[in-house]
Amino acid sequence: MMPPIAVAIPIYLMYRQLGLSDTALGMILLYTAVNVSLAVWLLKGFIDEIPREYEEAAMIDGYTRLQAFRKVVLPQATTGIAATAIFCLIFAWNEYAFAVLLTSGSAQTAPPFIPTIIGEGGQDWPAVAAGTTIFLVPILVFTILLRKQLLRGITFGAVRK
Amino acid sequence: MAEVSLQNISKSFGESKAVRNLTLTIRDGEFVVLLGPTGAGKTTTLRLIAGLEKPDTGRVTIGGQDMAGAAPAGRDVAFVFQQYSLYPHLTVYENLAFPLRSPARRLSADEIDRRVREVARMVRIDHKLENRSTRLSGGEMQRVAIGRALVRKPSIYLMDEPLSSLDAKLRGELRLELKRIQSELGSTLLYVTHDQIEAMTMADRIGILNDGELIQLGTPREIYSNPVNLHVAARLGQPHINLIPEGLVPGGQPPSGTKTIGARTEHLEIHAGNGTANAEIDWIEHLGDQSHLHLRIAGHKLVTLANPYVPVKPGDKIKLTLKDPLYFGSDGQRLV
Repeated sequence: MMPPIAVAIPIYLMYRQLGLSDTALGMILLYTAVNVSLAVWLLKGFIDEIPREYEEAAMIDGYTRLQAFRKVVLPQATTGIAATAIFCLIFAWNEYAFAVLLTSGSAQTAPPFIPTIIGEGGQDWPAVAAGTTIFLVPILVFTILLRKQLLRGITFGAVRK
Repeated sequence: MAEVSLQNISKSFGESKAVRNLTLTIRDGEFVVLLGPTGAGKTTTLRLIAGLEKPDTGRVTIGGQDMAGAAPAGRDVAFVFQQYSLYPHLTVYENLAFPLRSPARRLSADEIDRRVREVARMVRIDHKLENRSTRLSGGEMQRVAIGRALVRKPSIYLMDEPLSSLDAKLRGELRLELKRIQSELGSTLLYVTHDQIEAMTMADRIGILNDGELIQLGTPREIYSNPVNLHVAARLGQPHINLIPEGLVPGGQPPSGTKTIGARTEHLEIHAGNGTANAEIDWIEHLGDQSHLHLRIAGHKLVTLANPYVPVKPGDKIKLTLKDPLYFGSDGQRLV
């Protein structure tokens, strides 16, 4: 949750040592680690919203704790999981500071790459516009795929209070 | 069905003692109601039997077997919660089938289907089996919740104020239905409520709980007519029992040491005031089939029931006497 630049130097040195600089694996590990804190925080909020009684009812109905979680809690948390997935995707997709610092060619992500189109012989605006448009597509597709889960959030909370 | 027994159970949550040294046996096929105010330890008692809480001391046995260390799934109990009763992501049918589909049971699909439909008919929800459980009225939801417990044949049914969130008419109907179903199946049932009418109408035996302690256990008749102390006397009766100091109202033979007299409607006799009046009618509430008379006697206020055709009006002087009331000593215990 802290500004990436605060840990940029240690991570840069660590990655160089481990040979993870400019590799896809390195970026996957880094974005996973940074996203976990955000994801746990968000999901905890969503799961806390689900009354304990459901889980307890399932345990009395003959399920173990883990089975109760899978059968009762998880289906009710789909909205939260979908929202969290979109947040995490957008964060990793947009991330700039680490990408600029740790990648140069083989594992470069779009945010540091798109501006470099400008740098070569004046401003190639059509290429930049096309790049940013293409850059938007995956997020758009992902959101459309999950819209059912996200919409269910509106009708969620079917309990009488 | 089985006998369920609690022996010297105590349970604290931090500083507060929820249940104190509770001993209670629910016989096989018996309908026991625990009656008490909020915070008396009723729900905790149910949760201790279900295995959702562990007792600090004491033993829970179901069918003679010690349940210490047994998980809720292994105890063979069914629980009806006060709210959040249905799984919102499932249909009515799936809600009813849920306990039968548990890995602990492994019934065939045909058997599950047969039992779900049977129970759905019993709780009269068979026309809405394919509905999402969220698309039901409050009464239907609670019927499904009761059905989800009935679909199994557990050792004991535990019900935590299952009717309290419903309106009065529906509560009356479901009360009858529940009692009918219980006597048809011969189930052992422990029911928790703060509603004295539910307790009086459904219970084989009532247990009065206060502050985590079981104060009295007996048939509804016994609890009503022979309360052991002031607290129990005050739990039952509508209108509320009148607690008046000894010597205020003539009549009765108070034993020595009597401090307080408990007088319900049937313990108060009203005579037309012919020169010997000792009380005044303060206010009359007409309920239709009967009236509440609010009386004032030497600065004390009493409420009693009266026939609506009794020719009295506010301000009238009347003569009030006692007839076999309940006597309580200075410690609040009943004196006989």
